[in-house]
Amino acid sequence: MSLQVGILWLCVTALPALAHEEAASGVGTGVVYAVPGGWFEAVMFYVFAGTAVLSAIGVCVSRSVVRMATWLFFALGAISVLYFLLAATFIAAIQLIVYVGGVLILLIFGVMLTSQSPWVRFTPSRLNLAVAGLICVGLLVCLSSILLEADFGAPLSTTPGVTVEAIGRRMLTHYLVPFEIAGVLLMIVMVGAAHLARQEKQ
Amino acid sequence: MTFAALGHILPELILLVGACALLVLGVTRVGRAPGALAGATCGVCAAALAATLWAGIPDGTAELSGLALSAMTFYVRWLTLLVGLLLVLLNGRQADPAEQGEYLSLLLFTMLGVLLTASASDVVVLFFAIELVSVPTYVLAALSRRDARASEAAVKYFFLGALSAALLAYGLGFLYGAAGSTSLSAMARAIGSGAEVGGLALIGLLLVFGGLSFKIAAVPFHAYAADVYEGAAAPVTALLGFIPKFAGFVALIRVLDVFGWAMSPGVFWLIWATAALTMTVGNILGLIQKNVKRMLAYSSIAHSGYMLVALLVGPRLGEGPMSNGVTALLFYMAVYGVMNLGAFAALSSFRRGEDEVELVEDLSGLARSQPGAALALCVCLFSLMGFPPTAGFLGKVYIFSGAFSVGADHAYAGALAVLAVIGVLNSAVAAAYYLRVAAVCWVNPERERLAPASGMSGRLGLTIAAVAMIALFVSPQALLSRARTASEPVLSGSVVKGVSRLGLDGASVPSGISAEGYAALSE
Repeated sequence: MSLQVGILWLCVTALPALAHEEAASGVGTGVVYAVPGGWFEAVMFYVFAGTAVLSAIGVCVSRSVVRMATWLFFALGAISVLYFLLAATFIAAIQLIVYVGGVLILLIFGVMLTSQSPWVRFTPSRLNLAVAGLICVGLLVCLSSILLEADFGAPLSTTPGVTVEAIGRRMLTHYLVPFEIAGVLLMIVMVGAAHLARQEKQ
Repeated sequence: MTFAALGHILPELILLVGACALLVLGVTRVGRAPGALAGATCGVCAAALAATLWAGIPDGTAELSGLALSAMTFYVRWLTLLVGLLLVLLNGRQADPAEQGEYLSLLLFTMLGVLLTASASDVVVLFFAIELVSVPTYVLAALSRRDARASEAAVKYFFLGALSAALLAYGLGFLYGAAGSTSLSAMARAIGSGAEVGGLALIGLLLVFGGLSFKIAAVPFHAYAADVYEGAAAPVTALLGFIPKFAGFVALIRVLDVFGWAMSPGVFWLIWATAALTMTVGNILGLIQKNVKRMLAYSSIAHSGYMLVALLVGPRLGEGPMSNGVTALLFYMAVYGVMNLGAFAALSSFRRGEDEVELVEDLSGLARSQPGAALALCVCLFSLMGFPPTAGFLGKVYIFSGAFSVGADHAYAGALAVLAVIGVLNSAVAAAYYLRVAAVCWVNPERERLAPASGMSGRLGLTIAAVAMIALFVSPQALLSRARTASEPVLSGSVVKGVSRLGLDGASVPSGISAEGYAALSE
């Protein structure tokens, strides 16, 4: 049941996002769906930021792994919408494809293939819960008190439309070294995972 | 980045290509021949070392996006490759023969990560380089032996490592938010130093320090060390004691350089408390260990504490050779890498039945059956203890005298002196558990004969380490002068002020840590 709700919710959240991408690509033609900084953007921001935060809390408080995955589904989807609102369409699409589409499905597969029952439950001890709660509250207070006073400076750019082409060019020129290291890293992860996951030889 | 620029990163390229070739070679018939892969790995290391020495100290003119080559790069390169060669010697015959190719290539990849950490001038590169150091070590811990304990160690190491990577990434994200650029030199300009540093950058610094504390196993991020060291096989433990720690400290130097080393009180006291706690907790828990590998794990935690003292002293100009914290740190890192490796080489060169030496008691009477190995082990232990005539003594002298001699004008001179006193007291406490191992070797009657482990490479590594400890005590000048040259780019404080240090001919050359070439490229 919760999975269906999840998919439904994602479809609902993806709709305005997709519409916004249409708008971003149609900036030159005068079709503007959401004026940056306008009331519509503000409403969208609060709705989806709220969704992301509540879902993240849901991940933490639910006991069953599958429920956690479902909450994560909402959280990741809502964050992707936030990227759309920032007109960072590329990273928003990546967020949808990689996290919502890939990582989450892998997670469910992992639970399916490794556990005896899909309804594995986490039962942390009271002490752990208390310590974790204390740390979380401490972090929240410290981070929010500093962030509220922080000087973020002027926005780097207010024009939407960093194109995929520009990102690709930058990745293969300016960020070539980290791009290559990331490739090597993924290969190592693959080698390691293949070795650790394979069956013992006789 | 031009094609010619690739010549500047030849050692890294050799490691990369060599590691990939080993992966392929491991599954061919050539690779199954005994010793072929280990020999090839030694060859790759030696080639990279030769390329490093041939290229010499980079002059900082290389235009590579995200990388800035400096004297520090040179130091880290040759030290990593030299210790790496010893590690390959140790690891030559350990793993399952069918996994030898992957095993040795992962070893090369983790060294590549250290090399890249030393030249990263962009936080994206820095993050990836640290991950390139970490990820292979998780797999190496798991592959090191067929034992449930190794798997448990790898899982613990992986999860805590993932958490540390998240902390590091979160922190670097805050730094990016504060500076608006991922380049370290641009960050230094935007963030400023001392009291100018804003809240965002401060959160970033604290989170990055937390993330890197995992890599150097500083308290309170030390919890994994004992379990992982105990679970993994001794040759891999030798690697875990040096490679991630070295990368962590190099990254810390680079990050603190962004902040200009003029620390705000909060940051200073945080690192001060971490150093004091790391030394004390490491040594006290080391005292109560019965397992010799767990004991060495706590000893390695304590050593991180000593090195944090040097980091806190920071780079200082023109006050004699002993007062520069970064020089002392780099010197100590080299000495620590070799002596720690020697201790684990000793453990891996004997077998008790089918298993490794585990308990301190297992070494009973070693001096009677194998006096040479026992002597070499004791030299390494005395060096870890910081006892003359070994290089470990000099390393500790440089670190603590640096903390004592910062001068009264230093804002925290008193606090640093107190920290040095804590360090000296800790060294005395640590002597108890090192001496216990030595006593068990020489005084206790033989309990059970320890068989030499197959292969000579472990013995060779142990001998080289012990001889190096004595040799570096007799003539530390060569290493010390190299360490001093390596800390020059840090000394000039060039990142913050944008000044260049003087080149040999009086012309200004761009400083190493901040690559002007890179800055020019990014603008």
